[in-house]
Amino acid sequence: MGVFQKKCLFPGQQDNEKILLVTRQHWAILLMQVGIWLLFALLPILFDVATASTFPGLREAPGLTVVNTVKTVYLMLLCGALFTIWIIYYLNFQVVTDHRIVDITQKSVLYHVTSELNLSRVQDVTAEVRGILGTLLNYGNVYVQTAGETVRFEFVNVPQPHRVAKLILDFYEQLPRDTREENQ
Amino acid sequence: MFALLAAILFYGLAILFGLYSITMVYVLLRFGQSWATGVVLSVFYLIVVATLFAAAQANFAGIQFNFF
Repeated sequence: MGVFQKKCLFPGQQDNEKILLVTRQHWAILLMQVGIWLLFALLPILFDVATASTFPGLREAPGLTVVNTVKTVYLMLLCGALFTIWIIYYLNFQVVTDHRIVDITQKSVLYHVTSELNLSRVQDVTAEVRGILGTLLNYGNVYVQTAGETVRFEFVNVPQPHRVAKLILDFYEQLPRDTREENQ
Repeated sequence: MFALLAAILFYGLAILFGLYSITMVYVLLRFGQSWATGVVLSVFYLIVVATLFAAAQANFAGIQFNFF
């Protein structure tokens, strides 16, 4: 890890724990969200175009100052929205170590969830690629079924889902047989 | 009266947004993987938002409420 990297990637990380994979949603998902944000960013321009001929009063004082105030406040909120989109993308990630799988989820700015699963409890790993973009850019979901639990561990829209699934299964296979079988 | 209401709305929104921004920066630095990324992006974001707030405040100060 570099000088500016934090020592612990997730809470409870052991010193001897080897990080095998850190993955997060594919960049195309971030791009789609930024695309929607851009549509909102275009609204002030569309407003100017739409009101240019119909409301000429908004192009000169005192209407102009009100319009400019609303526009700058709107841009400020838009910047906040873009930062929120990026934070939620950046803070949502999954870590596969030689001991466990950790899913760190940032559902909103104030909603942070960390769930972990011991590799020995893995029963079944499924990779799923859906849709045109998913197939073209090779991203999709990875479901990890655990022993004795109905809830699945989900990696949503991660790049190379088949590779991730294979990695988890490969490391599960490397565990001592008695560790694996005690949960089955 | 109208000017006071507008000022309460404007500065109230600014305070709420400021608190939300500080929370975002805290969350990024607290849960992010890299200090460098967190600090650089937070500083950049705060500069942009502060600039926009200054512009908004200048525009708000220019509104002639007695005209309405």
